[in-house]
Amino acid sequence: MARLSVVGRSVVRRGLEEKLTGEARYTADLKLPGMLHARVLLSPHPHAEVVSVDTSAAEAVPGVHAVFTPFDDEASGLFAGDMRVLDTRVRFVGDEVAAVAAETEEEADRAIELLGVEYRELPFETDAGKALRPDATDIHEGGNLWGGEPLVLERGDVEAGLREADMVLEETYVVASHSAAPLEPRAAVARWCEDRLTVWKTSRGVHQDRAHLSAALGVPEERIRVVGPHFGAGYGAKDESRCAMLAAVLARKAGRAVRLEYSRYQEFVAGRVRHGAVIELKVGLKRSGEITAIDNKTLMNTGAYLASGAGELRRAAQGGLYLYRCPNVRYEGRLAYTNSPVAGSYRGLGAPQGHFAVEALMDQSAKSLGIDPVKFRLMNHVGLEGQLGRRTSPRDLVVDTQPVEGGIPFSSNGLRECILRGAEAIGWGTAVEEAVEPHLKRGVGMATCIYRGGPGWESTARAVLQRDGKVDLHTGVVDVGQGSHTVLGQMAAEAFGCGYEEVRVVSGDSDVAPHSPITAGSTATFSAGLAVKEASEKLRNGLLDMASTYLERAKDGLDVSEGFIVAKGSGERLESVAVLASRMPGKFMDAEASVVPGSADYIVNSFAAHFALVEVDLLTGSVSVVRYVAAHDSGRIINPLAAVNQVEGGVSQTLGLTLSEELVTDGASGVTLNGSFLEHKCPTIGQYPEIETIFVETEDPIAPFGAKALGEPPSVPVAAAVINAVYNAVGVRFTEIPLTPDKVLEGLARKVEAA
Amino acid sequence: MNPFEFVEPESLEEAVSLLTKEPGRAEVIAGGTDLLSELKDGLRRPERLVSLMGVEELGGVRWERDRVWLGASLTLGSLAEDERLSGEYPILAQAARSIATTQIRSVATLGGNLCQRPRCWYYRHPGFPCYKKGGVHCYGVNGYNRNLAILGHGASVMVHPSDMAPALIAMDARLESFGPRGRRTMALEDFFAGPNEQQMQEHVLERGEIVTGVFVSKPPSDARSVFLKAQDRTGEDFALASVAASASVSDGAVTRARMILGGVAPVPYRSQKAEEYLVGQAVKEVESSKAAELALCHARPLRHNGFKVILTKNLVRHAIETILKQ
Amino acid sequence: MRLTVNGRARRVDAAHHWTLLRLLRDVLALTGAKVGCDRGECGACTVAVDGQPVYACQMLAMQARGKEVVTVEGLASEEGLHPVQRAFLEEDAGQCGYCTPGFVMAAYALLLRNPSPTEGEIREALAGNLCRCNAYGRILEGVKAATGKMDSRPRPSRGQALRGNDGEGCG
Repeated sequence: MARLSVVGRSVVRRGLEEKLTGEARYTADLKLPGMLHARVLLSPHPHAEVVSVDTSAAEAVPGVHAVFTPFDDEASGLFAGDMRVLDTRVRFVGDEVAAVAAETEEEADRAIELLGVEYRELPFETDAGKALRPDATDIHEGGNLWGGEPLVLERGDVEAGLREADMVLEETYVVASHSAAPLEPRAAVARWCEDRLTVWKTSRGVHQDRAHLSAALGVPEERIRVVGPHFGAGYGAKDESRCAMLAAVLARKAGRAVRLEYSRYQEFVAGRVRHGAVIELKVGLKRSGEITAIDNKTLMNTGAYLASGAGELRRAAQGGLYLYRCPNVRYEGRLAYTNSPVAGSYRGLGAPQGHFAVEALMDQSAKSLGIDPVKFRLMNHVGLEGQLGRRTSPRDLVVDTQPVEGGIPFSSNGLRECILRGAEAIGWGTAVEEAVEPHLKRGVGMATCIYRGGPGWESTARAVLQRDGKVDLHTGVVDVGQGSHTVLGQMAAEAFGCGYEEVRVVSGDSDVAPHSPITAGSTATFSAGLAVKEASEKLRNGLLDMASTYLERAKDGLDVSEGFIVAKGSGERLESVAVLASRMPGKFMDAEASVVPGSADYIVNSFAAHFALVEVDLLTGSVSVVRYVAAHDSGRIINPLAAVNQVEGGVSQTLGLTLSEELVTDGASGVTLNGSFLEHKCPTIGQYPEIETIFVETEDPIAPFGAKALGEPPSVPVAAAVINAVYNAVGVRFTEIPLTPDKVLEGLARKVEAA
Repeated sequence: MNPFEFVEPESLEEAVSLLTKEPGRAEVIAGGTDLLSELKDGLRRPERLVSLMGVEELGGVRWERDRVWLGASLTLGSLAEDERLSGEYPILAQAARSIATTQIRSVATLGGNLCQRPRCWYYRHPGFPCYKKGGVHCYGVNGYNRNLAILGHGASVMVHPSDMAPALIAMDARLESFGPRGRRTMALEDFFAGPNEQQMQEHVLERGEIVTGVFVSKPPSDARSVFLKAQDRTGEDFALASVAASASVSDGAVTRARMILGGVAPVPYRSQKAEEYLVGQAVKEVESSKAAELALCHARPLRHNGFKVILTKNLVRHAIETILKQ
Repeated sequence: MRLTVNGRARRVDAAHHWTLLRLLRDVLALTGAKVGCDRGECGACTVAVDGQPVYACQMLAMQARGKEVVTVEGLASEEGLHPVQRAFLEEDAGQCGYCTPGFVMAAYALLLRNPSPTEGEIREALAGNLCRCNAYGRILEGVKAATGKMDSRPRPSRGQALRGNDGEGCG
């Protein structure tokens, strides 16, 4: 792999210094002149018609300037598929019913309490399976099965594959719904100037937010400006929400700027959660260890609205369809509406659930065959050539990053090396060092991962050389905390030929930023990166044209390096970029590039293999992860320290899904009972294991500088790696997560009874 | 949060008079870490808060010849970090250390820990007019009761959340209070009241009566003790179950035993059966699992909390094995 | 009421039911301490009161009367970043940054009373702060790197500059 000067270095994260000093401004830190405070009323009923809202008492509260109910004209706008700005039907406890804006928070609170809402309660169902029964009440027109039929994806003949097998294993896996719980609750500040709206909001995509606002409010996009200040993260979960719409409507009604912040409880229930899933999995095996069939039936609970459900249902399939070489695979996915909090995107988008089932059953398969789990993976994992079979899609079409068909190779595939290097690092095959206390039992486990590797939506970037010799990089991509601005800045510096410090990143404002997709699906580095690279190269080319004239030397003998025009070959510095820039004919020089990322010849995917050493406390049932190895093929690593941070964070965050986090609904009332950081148990630094990160830097011909996706893959194999390690420690196969102490103790007791 | 008046008297008498002047409208605040959540969620709406932090005599640790006095407004942080206390009463430091987080321990007080309200999810959710808030119904009985009582439940299946209480009771602590009728002391064990005795509080104090501190006698030289706590997460969480155990051993036999269970009943639960079994036993004859069975012999788990019986037995067993080894 | 904030004596009006966090953010425009939960469960609002780490959201402003409050804005000085901030910057100890001021203050308060903590002590002291990006590995490294580097002498603060409103021209 060629050595580069800026790419591959751990430069300091952009924006971190102002975060450390408290100067970084987030949406809730903004205060506009004359700004009002808004509050929102959430439905106390899981399913009801809003018959009427008596606003007279609320409006009479001194200081109240606006009250917004589902019966107002502005309420009916539709966005994100199936959601209205405010609806006369509420579909879960937490659905927004009305909102107010007042001079002070206290006045707004008082007004909310005084709203007289009359509801007509309807039958409700919070369980996905029961919601699909014929006698269940429809939550949306067209029934509770999204799309009216299951999503079926298949390759080969799974029935034939099962018949051909020497052994068939089957198991049902259950994943509970939990919240991404970003530390910053969603918030928006809205202000109208005549017919033009500006919204500052917790955003991961200012252009998508602008489109949603436009659709919901019936205001043309040209008259809406969305600004994303510093973003207190979302992990996918801050989209598809009413927050900004409510602030905008209240601001228009009041004729004043309005700030709406959701409380922590509101963020938990009216935010977006991960889809709970029930996965029935069957695998056919030959005694030799060959996999003949994988049959996967998945039911996911999307809650009261669709949000990202469709993508979630699709991505839950990919582990079973593609991680293992297998001619006969089938996935049947069903997505059910229920009267529960809305499930949306959350890091990994369905893949963590899907991989948990697949990798737990593969572990069991290896055990049943008497083959070591690592060896079993090495025998069966998908290779560089992809799945067997003939390509059926047109050859000139960009390949789906989540294909079903065979016959298409990967652009790069470091899965085998991830398995080998990870196994070595954890000490696989050597005896696990026992814990000091006899009631602590240790074990190791592993799991692998395949994930779409970066190609996303069309992305545009603009690079501008200013007269001071600095380069402004304009991108619409929002840095959601993962460091995309740092990485894109490094790419721009590398492609243009200057130092990282010479690049400024301009972003987060829909009025000035070139059109960019949301920061989602682990696509920022790859998709925005391609546009950034191309725009920066174009800018360098423009500068070289100028240098050629100025220096009176042939252009093909010149290059840009570390802020200088240099002679190709000798590297002799001929002139600094700063001097040339100061002599530009115009005020600046710029270049723009739009890229539709992807490849017609290759599947671009990222890979990983994770290894966990866990300790199970037989007395308390608590599981702690002692040591963890995460080996990743995300191609070339642009910023090693930030990448390690991303992997460590992804692993630790997903230990919540695996061991402790669950959003619990009261069956009788539909109320979410534990919408707090105390009772929805996110991991703290106390549970943080020792994590070793390994990067298998494959050379990828498609990716910008060879960099593939890294954001979500660290979350994908965690649950299975840990649960497989628990089996290794105590000999019980747990199939439901989070694996909390109650489940462990009951599982251990059942094992004793059975013996 | 509803507006209120905050007053900070400097004497106990003044505090009591402020609390009794307009009954029902004033509440005591010390550290406030529990109370503020209740106020923010609208579970209580006092018009006046009477702070005890200005009353000097409620603070600090006072060493006497054969006992120690711990002031009600002593913070849990000071309690956990006091070196002499950790040396002479290790069980108290163990318990204090296990509570909540560094930030909470900086301000939360001993008195507040003993007087805190239930952590039941139905109680804490403003949407449920539950029994402990003055309603008629305990939602935990038929609802989601994983974290609730397995022992001693009545009109409510709440569990008492205090970690200090079991540890202090295991040391035979006495509680001192001051109220309209003057000063009194009682065994800390008698301070707590279950749901059938008290609906809107978990103790026996009268209106306007304030906890002033706790006395703990010097343990005999042959005493040993331990506090064990099981949590969903280490740090931050309340106990799924806790065990405070203490015992004296002389001539190879147990002469005194205390076995107090926390997080499993509406009050700190003293298991006399386990204590009776232990007292008089030769140390090497003690069967810890038998003691554990006895400690939980009255357990009546609910639909989702059967595991707490297993868990608590495990903790009792481990606690006995630990102290008999000391 | 009177209190000292970042070394400066302040006289402010605060309603009795206001939390210290509201006073800091809304009156003193010190928005470094964040609202993460408003229930003392996440640590994003951690400040030091008389050297002790506390949740500013779970303390009434009145309870801080006469006390010395240090917020994240009070750490850096004219000489530059505070050693804790410097170490966090070099170790990449943060991602989205919303929890960062709280972690910095919890680490600062820890090192004030224990200049050379063990890893166990660091974990215990920071267990009351949540980072949802889970950048815990880097944060641990950051605190370790700051160990022994803290200067207990009072330093001239640069964080005192009170910022005005963010109002911009008609968008």
